[in-house]
Amino acid sequence: MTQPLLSIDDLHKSYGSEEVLEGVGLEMDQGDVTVLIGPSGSGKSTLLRCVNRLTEINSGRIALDGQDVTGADTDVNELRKQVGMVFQDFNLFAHLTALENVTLGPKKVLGMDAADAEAAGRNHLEQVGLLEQADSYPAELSGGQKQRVGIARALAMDPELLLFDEPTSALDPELVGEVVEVMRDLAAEGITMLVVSHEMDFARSAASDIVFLDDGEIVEHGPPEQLFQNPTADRTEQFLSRLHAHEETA
Amino acid sequence: MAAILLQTADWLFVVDNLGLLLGGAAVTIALTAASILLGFAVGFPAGAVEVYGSDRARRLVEQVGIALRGTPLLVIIMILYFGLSISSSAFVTAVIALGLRSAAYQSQIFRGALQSVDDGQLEAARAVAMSRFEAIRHVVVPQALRRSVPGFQNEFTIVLKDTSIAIVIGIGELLTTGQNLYEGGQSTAALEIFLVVSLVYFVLTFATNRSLDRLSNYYAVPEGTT
Amino acid sequence: MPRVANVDRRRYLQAIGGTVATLSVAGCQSDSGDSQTLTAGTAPGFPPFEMKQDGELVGFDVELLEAVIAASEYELSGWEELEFKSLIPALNNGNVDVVAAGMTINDDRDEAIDFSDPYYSSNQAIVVRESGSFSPSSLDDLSGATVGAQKGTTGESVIKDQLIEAGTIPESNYNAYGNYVLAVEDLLNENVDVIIIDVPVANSFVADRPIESAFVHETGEQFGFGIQSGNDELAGALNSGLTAVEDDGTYRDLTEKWFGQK
Repeated sequence: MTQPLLSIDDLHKSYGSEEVLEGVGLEMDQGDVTVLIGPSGSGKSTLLRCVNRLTEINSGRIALDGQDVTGADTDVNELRKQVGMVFQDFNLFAHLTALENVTLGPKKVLGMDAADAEAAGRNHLEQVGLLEQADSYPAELSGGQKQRVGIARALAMDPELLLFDEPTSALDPELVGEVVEVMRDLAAEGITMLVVSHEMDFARSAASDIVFLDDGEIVEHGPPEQLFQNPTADRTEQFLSRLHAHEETA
Repeated sequence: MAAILLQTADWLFVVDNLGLLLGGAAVTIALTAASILLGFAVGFPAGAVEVYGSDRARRLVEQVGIALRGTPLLVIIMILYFGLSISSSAFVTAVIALGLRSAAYQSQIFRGALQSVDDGQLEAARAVAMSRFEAIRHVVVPQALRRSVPGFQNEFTIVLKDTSIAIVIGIGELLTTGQNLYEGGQSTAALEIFLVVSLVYFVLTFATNRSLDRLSNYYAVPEGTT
Repeated sequence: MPRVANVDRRRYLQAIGGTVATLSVAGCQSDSGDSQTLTAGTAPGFPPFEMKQDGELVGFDVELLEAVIAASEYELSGWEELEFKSLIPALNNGNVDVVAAGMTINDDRDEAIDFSDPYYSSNQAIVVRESGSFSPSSLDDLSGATVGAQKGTTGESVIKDQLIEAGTIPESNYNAYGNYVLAVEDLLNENVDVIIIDVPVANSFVADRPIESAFVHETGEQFGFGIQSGNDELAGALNSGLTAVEDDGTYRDLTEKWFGQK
């Protein structure tokens, strides 16, 4: 068995005196789709942001392809070439068109030549169904379109791992579907994804592993059929039942 | 009032000396342009340091900025010319004085503009593996510059009017030339001369503001309707 | 968003003022190679002593100094046109070697620079509107009147020392102006009753404006050419030049040319 793509070990993160992550650990193999669920404030987003070091950890170890990425001598920029991110608030570069958003990284960071970057960029936009919007600016796009551009932008760097930080939480309900569909396609293609989300449909159908995080620690994790039907911990059950109640009334 | 404005002899005097006045205007324009450019060249990096620099660098820039903004321009120019004698050219000294002071104010314009760009922009740029410098340069700065236009237009008008201070080191710009005209020649033409001088300042301000507006519109990011 | 400055602003400004004064006195030498060439400094805008006409610098001071220097072993390379307040700093810093600007010799200035022998006695004219009925014949007659003068001139000090201090007029009755022309305009607009200006300056206005000199107040003040402290060689040369110019009639010709009625 080859080493896991991502390996997180005994991760601790505190903001001041408040400990947000209390010894979290998980592993992902290539092609895995792991969805982090849990109540708000449980540390899900923090955990995600530690992986690409947008947030720095206090102690513990994160390894990508067996290489420790939390050391002081790690080249953070190299790390981020391998780990892409999709943000809850999209964070598209407001002064650039959709296509320019997608090609900026490849051109400036990967040194791709402009023609190649553009061709690849259009492919990625087509992949997310937005080829026609290539020359539109973010302000001219709907929320769902913006997020899909964000996904294309992250894909364009050809990363080994894609992080999704509540990708649909800022979207109007009718726009959620188009984004989830793209994510499902990516999962089917074998992209390794670590997702923080409340979209249970996606989790149920596309995830290879669900991780339930509560109060900074991993309560339990397992394949969706097992976690959703037969959770082992009480806390998991409580959380899921609150979710179902919400889904039923929604 | 109408009677005062219709003194033909006075207007003829102004027309006769139009060449002199335009010469003064040329000096004013040269001073303003050079000073504003120097102000930008120094002020923009200063503003960036105040937002992104190390603690030590930031403190240094802050203190120098406070000193420059808090010192009357007259004092700055006299220290540079009569005290430190930084240049034998009065024009160069005036440009340095006006330029450094403008830089101190422009740094605040750019600091505000840089800070107004959402943090998420910088984060997203870092997430596609750009270094901090590349992220600032390719993502934050282009947006900040667009937001700086109104402040910059304002600063231009201020520098333009401040150029008249250069007389204290002997530079004959527009206002001085106008004053010399009525003091030495036809003193009854004072009002007419002032009107013409004001007109020139107005035209310069108007022209520059419009040009900057056009530039801003050309580079503006479409707003969209969503 | 107020920023807290770590420096007390008033103390800072005082320090700056002191620095300018110190630096201007301590200032470095000019680098005009030839010690026999002089640069002259003046502040145009004070007719008929120095002003710009058709773009040229002209006036009594200008021609007199040129004549005085011509009579000496020095050469005049040119004129610097500055503001009055810049002249002493310019002298001390070496930007100019000699100043001719209707500058009154007084103790304060003597501490910063040296003067040549006096070349002109400045008396003040008390000027009123021709159309008015106000005809004072002495300073006391100005009781209660509104008075104007140019800032920084002898006229202003006459008003401050002899009228306000003596209580002849309250301080609020004094209007200070940036230059003579504005003072004359205000007199004509009936915003002031009386202005006090140098006699030759008054004469140049009285000729073509409906104003007249009510009387002349002799101040005993005198103009001198300003030079750097300790430059005795230049002082000697200027004084000899003055004597020469007075002896050969040039001085008289210049006063007739620039002051007309004497």
